Amino acid sequence: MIEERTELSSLPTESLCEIFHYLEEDFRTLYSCLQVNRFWCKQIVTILWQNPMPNTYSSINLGVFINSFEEEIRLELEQNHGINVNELPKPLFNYEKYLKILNLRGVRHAVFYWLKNYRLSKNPFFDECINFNQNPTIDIIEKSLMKLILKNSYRIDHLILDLSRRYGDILEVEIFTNEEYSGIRNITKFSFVNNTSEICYNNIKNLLQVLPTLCTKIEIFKFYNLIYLHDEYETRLVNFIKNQNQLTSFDLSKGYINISRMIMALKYQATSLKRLTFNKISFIDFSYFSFDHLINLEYLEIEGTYPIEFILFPLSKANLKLKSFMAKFIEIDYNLKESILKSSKNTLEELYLEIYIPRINGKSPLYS
Amino acid sequence: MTSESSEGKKVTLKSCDDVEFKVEIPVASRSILLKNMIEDVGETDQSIPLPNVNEKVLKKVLEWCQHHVNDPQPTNDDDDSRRRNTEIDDWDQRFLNVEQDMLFEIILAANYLDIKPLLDIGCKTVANMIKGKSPEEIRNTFNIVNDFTPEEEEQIRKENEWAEDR
Repeated sequence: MIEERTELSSLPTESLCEIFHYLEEDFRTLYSCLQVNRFWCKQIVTILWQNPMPNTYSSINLGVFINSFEEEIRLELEQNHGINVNELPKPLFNYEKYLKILNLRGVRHAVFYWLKNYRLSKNPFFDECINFNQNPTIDIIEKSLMKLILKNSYRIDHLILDLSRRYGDILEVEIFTNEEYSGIRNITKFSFVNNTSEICYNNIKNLLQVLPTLCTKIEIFKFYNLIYLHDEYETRLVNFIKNQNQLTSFDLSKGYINISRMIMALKYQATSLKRLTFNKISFIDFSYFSFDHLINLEYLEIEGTYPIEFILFPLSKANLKLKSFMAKFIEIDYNLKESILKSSKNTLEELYLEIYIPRINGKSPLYS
Repeated sequence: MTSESSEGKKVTLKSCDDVEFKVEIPVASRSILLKNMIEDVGETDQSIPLPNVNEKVLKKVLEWCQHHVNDPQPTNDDDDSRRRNTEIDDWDQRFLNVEQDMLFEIILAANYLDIKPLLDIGCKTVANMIKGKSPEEIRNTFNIVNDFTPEEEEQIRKENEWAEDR
């Protein structure tokens, strides 16, 4: 009798998916896995299409989406925008279903690059300049694609809004609030990046206005590169933060603005907040901040933040139960020892310090 | 037949091929399934039957549990960081340097017995075996039949070829 061997196909689907998740940043291998057989293919597309349109160069084949656009739009693209919609075959999957991360600028980037490649595929000598911010073909495809995503992508978990000065406004807010679409209602992560422009755009303002009521399940806020924050944006972001009651993590990286109002908004999540990160922050006005209310904070990470006493002084006055305290590249401060003791006396499991001392005056603040 | 392990409070586990293993409770408790059973039932002389695990695999799994008896229990907090990291420590690497069918049996047993860290390193090991291989190499390595039609294969490639350059 031949003994039956246990093979990879004997594993339950959940274990096979667990294996694939270890490869989720290795797109080349995932692309190989996709072609192994039908069963593997079905599992891999759900990983591969989680974030197909990041805010960088992306060359995805948008034909797989255009095929599902409304008839009227398909006709418009065919007749007035030189796109031969009928030559795009019906895709094997509804790929938009698998999206988990929605980067609003990434969608436009994907359309921009696809259009360039499409024009080149039709005419290798195509040399017309396609303007990223002003192009009616990009506009119509972007809007229809966004509609399709918001209608069918019920797994969207993370919304990324980039406000770099090279971008114009986003699509009208109505597309996000349409009651027939699940859209961005279930996101648990919100990233707000590159606020470098002083212009306040209406659609962005309107989106920030509806976010506090539209998205109430945020667990993680990430703010990156806030060089300038328009008052109109700030007020709405503060409301957005205030309106959450499941917030566990707040991450502020590279900010050179007055952030005290945003930080103060955290007092409304005092019971849920567990992780707080300040990375390369310059505090301009931080005089009203207190850690006292963050009674369940467990992880505090500070890196390259100035002036450090704006954090350490209030920390030395609060009774916290930190499990992890990480301070990297901070100047030495006489509140450091006191703030560690006070914030984590009996609970600390992990301590990481990387401090610099500009001048040794005979006595280190860590002594005694 | 009985296989004894070291001293202390023990529990008897019985493989599907009727081999009994007397195991210290902290070792058996690396398995969340067994930990819960032991906590529910309390001390007992009766053996716990494990109908999905044979002697050879159970012996191997218990060897892993014994080696990792003092490891902290895993938390659910760090799912993302676990996934980014495909490194496996030296002892575990040697432990999983086994025939393919034994590796899959260990994964099945770790899944059934709910031993998350063992399941993780088993899955990581398979992921490392897949890494960098072409579709044909993967099929050959794991004895998988290609059931695509040539047209489907071509279309799936076209629709996803962006992934190759990312």
